[in-house]
Amino acid sequence: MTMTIYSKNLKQWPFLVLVALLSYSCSGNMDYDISEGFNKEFTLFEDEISVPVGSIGPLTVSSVMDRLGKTEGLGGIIAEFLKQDADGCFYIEDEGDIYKQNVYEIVKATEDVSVPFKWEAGSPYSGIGGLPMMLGIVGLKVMNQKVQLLYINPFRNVITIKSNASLSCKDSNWQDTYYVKLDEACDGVLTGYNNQEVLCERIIPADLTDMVSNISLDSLVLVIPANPASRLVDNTVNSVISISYAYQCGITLGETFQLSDISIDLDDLNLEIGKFRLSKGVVSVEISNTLPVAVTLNKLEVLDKTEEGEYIVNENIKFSEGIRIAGGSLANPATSTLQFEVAAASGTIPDIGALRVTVSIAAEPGLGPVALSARQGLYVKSSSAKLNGGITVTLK
Amino acid sequence: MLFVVLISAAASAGAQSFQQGFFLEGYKMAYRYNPAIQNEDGFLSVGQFESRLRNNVGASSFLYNRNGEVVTAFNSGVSATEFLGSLKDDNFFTGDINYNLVSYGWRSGAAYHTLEANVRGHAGASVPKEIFEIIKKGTGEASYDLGGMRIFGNIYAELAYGYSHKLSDMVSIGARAKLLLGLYSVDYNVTRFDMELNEDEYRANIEADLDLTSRYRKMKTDENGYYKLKGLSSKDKWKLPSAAGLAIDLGVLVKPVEGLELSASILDLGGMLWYYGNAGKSQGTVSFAGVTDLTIEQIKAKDFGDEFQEVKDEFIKTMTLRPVDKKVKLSAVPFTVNLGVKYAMPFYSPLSAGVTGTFICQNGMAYNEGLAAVAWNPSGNLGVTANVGAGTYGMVYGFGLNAAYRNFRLTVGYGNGTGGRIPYKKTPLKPNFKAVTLGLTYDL
Repeated sequence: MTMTIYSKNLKQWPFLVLVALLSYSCSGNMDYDISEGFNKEFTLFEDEISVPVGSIGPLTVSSVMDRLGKTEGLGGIIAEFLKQDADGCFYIEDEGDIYKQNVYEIVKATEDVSVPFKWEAGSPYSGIGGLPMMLGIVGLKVMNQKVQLLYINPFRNVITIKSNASLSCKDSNWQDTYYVKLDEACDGVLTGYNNQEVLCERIIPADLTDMVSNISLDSLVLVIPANPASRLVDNTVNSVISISYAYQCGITLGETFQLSDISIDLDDLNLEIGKFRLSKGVVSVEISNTLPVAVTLNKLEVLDKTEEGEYIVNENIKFSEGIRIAGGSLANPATSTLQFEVAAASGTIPDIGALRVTVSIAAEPGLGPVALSARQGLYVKSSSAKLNGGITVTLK
Repeated sequence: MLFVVLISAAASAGAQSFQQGFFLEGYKMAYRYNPAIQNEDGFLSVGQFESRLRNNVGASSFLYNRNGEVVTAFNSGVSATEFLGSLKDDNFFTGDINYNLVSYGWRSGAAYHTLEANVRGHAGASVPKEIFEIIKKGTGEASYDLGGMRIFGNIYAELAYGYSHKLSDMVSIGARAKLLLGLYSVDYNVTRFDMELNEDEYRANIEADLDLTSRYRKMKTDENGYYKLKGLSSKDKWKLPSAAGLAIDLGVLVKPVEGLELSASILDLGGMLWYYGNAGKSQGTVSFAGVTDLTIEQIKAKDFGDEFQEVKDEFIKTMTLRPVDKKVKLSAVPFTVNLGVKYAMPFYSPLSAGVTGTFICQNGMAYNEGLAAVAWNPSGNLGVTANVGAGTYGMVYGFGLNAAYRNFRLTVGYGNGTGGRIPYKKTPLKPNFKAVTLGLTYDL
């Protein structure tokens, strides 16, 4: 009996074990049930990720001037009249008459014109005006000044000229800072045929930033040919003997040049970074500055666009402030290594539609006069970003 | 997630080298476990399928339950320590299949002979942990070594002759000689992938080798001499195999006392000589130091395409393979060592118990397993066995069934790890070794 019962049990248990094993093998751990889907939110690079961003720019004066040229105001006017030489350096030109005398008035005032005669023209002079004078209003100064004396001789014959020509520069206190006589170059003859020719040229010391204030032709004497009316190239009553100046100068910054709290809006950036749910990042840049100005980044603000299309500042996003970029020159660029942090005070950094950059600009002390050039500007030689906290994306 | 997909694909079928066969008295193909094992009578088998799959990292390394919701390892709710701690330095899966076309066995006095024709295949892939470390944690380390990424596989035909001989009532020895004929072999191995990721530059030094061995497929090259990965040309038409080799199984079976059996065998000791059809190598350095002279307008227009396209092109060029000189390749086939002890209960002989130990080595990926089994074989027409044990990846269990009706005999075997799986799917949650055997024989 016992054996029979034992045998019956023995016959059944292997199948029970088999069923149990099959059941176990067919089941799954419901903690991992993905039949209804699973959370597809991925946070990558949780500790940090460093990304080389690269070089940006350059942002040059010429690109800024292009914008100013389209605006009104003094800046727009200056931008309109600035010229560039072959090296991209800005310069301004001015010209004017120093002496102008109608030939027929000379004839009328002279008793005997049948023989060559001396005409004492007095001591005419002129000062530089116009646009170069306006530079000081915006804190700019002149440099690399060049003055040419030009003449027009309406006769077919030469005219002899003699004069104690000179020019002078004065400082802001109207004191002479530079004076030079031009007579050794200005004595001689004026060739004829009514063409405008250069009588002489003088280059002011390049680093002198006091503008030419006076060009004088003291004791000017001209030797007129006999019967001058018959020797005119164009026999008109408007024929004149003229001596004029052509002035050219480069532009530099005055030591007191300073522009404070200039706000520049970089709009329509549309940086869609909100979906990555970043909380903090550090941007490192190496900037090369060939402008002779130090730029201080006072504030960098994220702008949100309202429904009316206006921009308001997003107070939740904070950037580092007070970062200074040293000034330099084309010959000696100043390299600044900067680091600034962007962080969300709460939550994460949203999409960035626009940025407002508020900067102060001042002449870099100790550089000396540096000619402003269209090629000067800011160039981000290298940049990188380090993000902490990961980048979160959600797959659909 | 790609790795989970690979594990899922691998787990769709799997079969163990049928250790349970050692405990099933009526199983006719136990000589595959130990060539010394003999059947009393002859048999004919067609279409037995065996496969085994191993993965040393499971889906639970990539899926987690947080607050009642399934999240991925890259969710912020899963710490890097937990995720990366569950991975191995090299995370791999391997698979073998053995499809028996036909087997025939017959007795001749004290000897037993077998003939077999099989198609066998091996495949696998490995991924280093550093890849997941970078994605999860970021670029905080000075350098990374991502070398060791690999994907491989081969298919070959096997013609085997087995001989077993009873030296005495106590001892039987056996051997099987196998002629191996290779059909296809592919092996893509990234031998070097050093990465430096820092603020100034991303730099990677990459070297990779490709072997695509087949007499019937030739990779084409482009105008620059690099392999084109599409459009393999076809040449010859199944005239000769791509490789030839030999392997042997050796075994001994000892019955020192009544009811006790001691088994030891080594299987698939050998290799194949492959004729290189397409061998390629890629190497180079890729670097990215950021974009060059980006403008405000480009930022506004999000116009970075040219810059990143250059980096992409440079990476592709570095990974593109250039043909190398053809040569032969000797590769070993995965081998197995089996040890087993079985004891039939003296009070009830159909009931037996025993232990087995297995060591498998495939492409340097080793696996060990020990099982304790019980079996019930009331007659030659029925046998069941169940086992539990532990392997390299943890606890394992299995069962086998051998049932005959008239002369037709069905054999079913199953082995799996205990880590569970994803519900309604076959993907194992833990490192796993999974096997299924299904076969039909006809007793002669």
